[in-house]
Amino acid sequence: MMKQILLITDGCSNVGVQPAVAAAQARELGIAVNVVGIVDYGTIGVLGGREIEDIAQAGGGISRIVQSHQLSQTIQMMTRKTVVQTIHQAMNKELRQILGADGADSVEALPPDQRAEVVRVMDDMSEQSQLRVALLIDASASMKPKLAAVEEAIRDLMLSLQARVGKSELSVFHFPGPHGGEEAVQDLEWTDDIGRAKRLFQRLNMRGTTPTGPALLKVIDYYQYDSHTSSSSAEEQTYQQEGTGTDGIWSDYIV
Amino acid sequence: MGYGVTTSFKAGGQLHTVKTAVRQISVAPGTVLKGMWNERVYRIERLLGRGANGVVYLVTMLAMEENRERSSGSFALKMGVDAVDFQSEINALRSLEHQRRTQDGRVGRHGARPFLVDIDDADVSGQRIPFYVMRYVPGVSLKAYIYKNGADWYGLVGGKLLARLNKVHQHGWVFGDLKAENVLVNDDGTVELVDYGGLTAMGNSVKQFTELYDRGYWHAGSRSADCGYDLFSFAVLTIQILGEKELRERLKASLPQTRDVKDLQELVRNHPRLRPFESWLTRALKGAFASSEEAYRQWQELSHRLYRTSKKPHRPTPLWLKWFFGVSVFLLVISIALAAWGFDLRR
Repeated sequence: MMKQILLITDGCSNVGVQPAVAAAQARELGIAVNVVGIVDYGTIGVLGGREIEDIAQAGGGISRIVQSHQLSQTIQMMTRKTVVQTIHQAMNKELRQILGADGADSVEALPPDQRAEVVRVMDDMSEQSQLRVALLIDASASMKPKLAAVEEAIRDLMLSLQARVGKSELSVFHFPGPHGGEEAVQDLEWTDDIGRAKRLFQRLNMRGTTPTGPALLKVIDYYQYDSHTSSSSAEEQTYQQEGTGTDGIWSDYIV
Repeated sequence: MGYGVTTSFKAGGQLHTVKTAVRQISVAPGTVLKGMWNERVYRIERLLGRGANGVVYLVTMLAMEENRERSSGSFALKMGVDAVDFQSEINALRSLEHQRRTQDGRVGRHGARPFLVDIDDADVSGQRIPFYVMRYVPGVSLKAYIYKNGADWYGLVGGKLLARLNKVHQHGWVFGDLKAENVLVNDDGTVELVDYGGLTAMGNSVKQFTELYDRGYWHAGSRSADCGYDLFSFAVLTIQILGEKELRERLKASLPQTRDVKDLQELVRNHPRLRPFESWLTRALKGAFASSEEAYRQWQELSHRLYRTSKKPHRPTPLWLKWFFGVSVFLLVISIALAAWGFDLRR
């Protein structure tokens, strides 16, 4: 299965472990980390831009800085590119093993006929492989005006994932948590149902801090945890209630 | 899932922190390229266009020993940005071409001229760049054609485009990235599809699309490759070409969350040039056609009827006439008022 984390943020982290360290850990575990920096007015700053780049590099993914109206197409493209890249890297490794030192060491170096055949297999793999993408959304105060665009982008990504032949699921987290205790709060557990990706962030309590690193670790744990037990636990459901519960009535309690 | 998206609005001054460096290929006219594997030689004449997957140049194939007649031929040569994406496009094109040949059978018709001429790699300033060579299609973009010749031509040209798409569908493929730039019209009215980067086998996810023409973007359905996908794009294309200003205004006014295919239907209903096509467009936007065969047939019937019914040309009243009318009414009112007061001019 292909695993990806997609971080959407608009600035620098300011609490906890360095996000690049967390991203490197994800990479170790076979999870690629992509980062989108979202700016509408002004710039993301030298530091912010640098951090975004560093996270993606450490996480073996791609980074982009875009305006919110470009968000949908950007994350769609990133997710797809990362799938292809993952397969490409694996394929190059295989080629080196099969063909040895004097053979072609990459798909690009193969003669046209063989390349055509290899790419056909790669295409099938990228269409048919299972895919999970965990979205991690920065919900610090400055992100508030951009959340509508983020939600639309999630819907759009879901649509693209649904069109794949392979099983594709998406999960959504935001950070920081409402009381400062949690690093990240789950808004949506693994799903391929586009109907559930609506109105995710309606009652968000936006706060000032940006604990990007700890939040990333949380999502990595979720991945790890989830691969051990297939069903979601009570613990995760409490995250969900905290994210979306209303006035003590757990209207969004989903089992 | 999709392979790539291109937005129709290019935001100026956007920041790009690009990790996977996007190579911008640029080759000066006059440069001579030699294929590494097939050893054919091409001279670059001029840039024809840039697509999502690469750059297309007009080239001349230089002297070949056995194939004399081709030696002076003009072709379109496309160079790929990403070797894997590019190969994937070539693969799709090759199987489409293979099916065309085996299923359409007989040679002799002008369409039987092979589309793909050569597939190779070239050394461009130290970098190995994959390329393929295809038949060169002279012509202007659909938009330019209609702009030049008038909207009356759309029924005919649209029908030809639908016939093209129908052929692609018959072979089990979906074109995917149908948009104004990817349709060329020849002087004689022949229609050609260019840029096959979105060509997708039916049932898979559409490889490449442009947001404005994308069914998913309008909340009108999935991104799975089926005939309906291309027909939807065709409907948006029609709206864009015949009602560009209105479409742009509507896009500006709508939010992504509230964007809806009903907006398009409403636009069609209220537009003098689009209204004649309303029944067809509505069906395409709703995905109500059972096959592209049916869609093609209905389009033909519709446009035949349109050309034969004498429609009153809708000409707006000239501004001077409106002013003239206004002034006359004003004078009339004054005269009546004066008369009512018993104002006697002779006094």
